[in-house]
Amino acid sequence: MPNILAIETSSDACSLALSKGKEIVSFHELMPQQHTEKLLGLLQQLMDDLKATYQDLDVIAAGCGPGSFTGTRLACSVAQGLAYSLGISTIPVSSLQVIAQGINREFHSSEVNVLVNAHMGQVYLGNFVFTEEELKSASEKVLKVEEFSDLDLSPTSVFVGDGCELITKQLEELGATIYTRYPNAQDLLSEAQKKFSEGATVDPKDLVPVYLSGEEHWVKL
Amino acid sequence: MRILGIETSCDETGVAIYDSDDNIILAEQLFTQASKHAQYGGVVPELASRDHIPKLLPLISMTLEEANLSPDEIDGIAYTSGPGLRGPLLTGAALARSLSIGWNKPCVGINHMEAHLLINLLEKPAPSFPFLTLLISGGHCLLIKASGIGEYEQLGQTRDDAVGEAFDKVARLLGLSYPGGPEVEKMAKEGDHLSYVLPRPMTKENHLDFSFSGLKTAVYYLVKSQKQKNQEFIQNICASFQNAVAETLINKCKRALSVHNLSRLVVGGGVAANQYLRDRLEVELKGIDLFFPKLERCTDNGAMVALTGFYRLKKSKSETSINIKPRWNLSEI
Repeated sequence: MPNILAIETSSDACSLALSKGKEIVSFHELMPQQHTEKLLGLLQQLMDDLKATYQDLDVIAAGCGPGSFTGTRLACSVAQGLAYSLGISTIPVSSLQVIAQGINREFHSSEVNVLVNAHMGQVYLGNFVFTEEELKSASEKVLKVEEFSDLDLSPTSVFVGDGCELITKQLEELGATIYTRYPNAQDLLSEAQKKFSEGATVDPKDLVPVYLSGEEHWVKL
Repeated sequence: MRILGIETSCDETGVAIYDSDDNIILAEQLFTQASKHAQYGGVVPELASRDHIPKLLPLISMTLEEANLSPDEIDGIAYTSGPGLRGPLLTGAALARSLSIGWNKPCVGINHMEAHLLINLLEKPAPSFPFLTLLISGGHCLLIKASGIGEYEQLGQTRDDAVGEAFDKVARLLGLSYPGGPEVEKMAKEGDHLSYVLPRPMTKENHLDFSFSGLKTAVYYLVKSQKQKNQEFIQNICASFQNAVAETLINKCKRALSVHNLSRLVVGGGVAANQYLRDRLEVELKGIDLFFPKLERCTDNGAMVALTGFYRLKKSKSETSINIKPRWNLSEI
C-alpha cells in the first residue's frame, strides 16, 4: 500500500488524512478561517501519530475545488510545495467528487448531486453516477440559484452539501433525500489510493485549483 | 549562505537566489501579470491570487537551473509575509513553507517594505546606515529613517492614495493604459510641465505625510472642463502632474533629511523607475548621496526577498506555520 497524504481544505472543514502501509490516521474538524494558520501543525501531528516522516510519502493528494477560493489555493500550494521538494507526484481530485464519494461509500447511493454554496447567488453543482462503488460519470458546473428551477432534477438521486439550503423548497417538493456533508480527506485518500494504483498521478506544477466561478465579477474597462 | 526568495505580494511572481558570500544574486526570474490586469484598469486581487500558483514552481525550477544549484545547496528560504494582498501572499507563503519542510531548510517571512528598503545593499557603492528611504509604489508612499538592519522609524506616509495609484488614476482619466506610471512618463516627455497649475499637497505643512487624492481630483476637473482632449493636452497634463508629484516628494525629502540630519537618500518602489523623478532629485538634492535600485529592481522582485531573508534568518528562528501579515507596518518589525 502506498503512503499517501490527503489534504482537503476547500470548505469550512479542515480535513486531512495520512496512510502508512495499512494504517490510516485522519483529522476532520470545522474551523472556518483557521486553515492557513493551523494546517502545517496538524499535518505534523498526523505524521507523529503514525511515526512517519514526510520522506516516507509516495504521493500527495489534494482537493482542488471548486469551493472556497482561499482554501483550495491553500491545499494546492501546500501539496505542490511538499511534493516538489520531496520529489514525488500529486493526485488532484475534485472537492465535489470527494463529497459524492463519501455519500456513495456510506449510503451506497447510485446518483449523487453535490450542491456547494458558491456565494454571490451561485451554487456549484456536481452530478456523480456510480455503479456500486465505481464512479461511472461526473459533471460539474456553476449555476445561479434561480437557474435551478429550470433543471429537471431526478427524485431518485440524493442531494448533499450546503448549497441545498439555497433551493430547500424545490428539493422538498421533489421529495428528495438531502444529506449534510463536508468534503472528507478519508474519501480523498480512498480515491487517491485507486488513482495511484492506476498510475493517474500528475507533476506538482500541474496541480492547480479548479474555480468554475469568479471571473464574471471582475469588471472590465 | 544561499537564500531562495519568493515574492508574491501583488501581481508580480518573483523568485531569486542570493549568495551572501559574494553579495550577489545568482539567478532570478520574474513573471508580471500587468497585461492581464490591464483590461480591468488595475490589479484584480482574485486574479492576482489565481495567477501565482501555476507560475511559482516553474519559476523556482528555472531559477535553480539558472544558478546551476540543487536544492541541497540552498541554505534557507524567504517569502514575502506582508504587507500586500491576502490571496497572493498566501500562495507564496504556503509554497515556501512547504518547500522548507520537504527540503528541511529554515524558512522566514519577510516584510515587503524592508525588502524594497534593503535592495540597494546589492549595489556598488551600497548606502551605509543611517539613511532616509523614500518608498514609492502603487500601494505605498513612505518616508523611513533606517538606522541599521531592522532599525526603522516611519517618518511619514500617504494619508490617501499611494503615488503609483495616483499615476494609475490619472492615466485612466486620460484614457492611457495600465500600469499608468510608464504611460504618463512617456506622454510627459513631450509636454510642458508649466502648462497647468496643480496643487503640491501638504507641502506647506511641517509634518512628513503625503496626500495625493486632491492632486488627482484637480486633474479630474481639468480633464472634465477640457472639450478638446487632444495629444497636446494629454502631454501637458501628464507633464504638469508629474512635475507636481516630483516637487511634492522632493519637498518632503528635503524636510526629512534636514530635520533628521541625514545625508543619504535611498529611493525604492515601482515609481522609483521614473526617470524624470530621478533627474529632479539629482538636481534638487545637491550634497545628498542618492541611491536608486536598478530599474528592474524598482518593482517587486524575488531578489529583494532573498537578500532580506538572509538578514532575517541570521536574526530569527525558522517559522513553523504559514504566516501572512497583509497590513504589516515596517515599524512593527
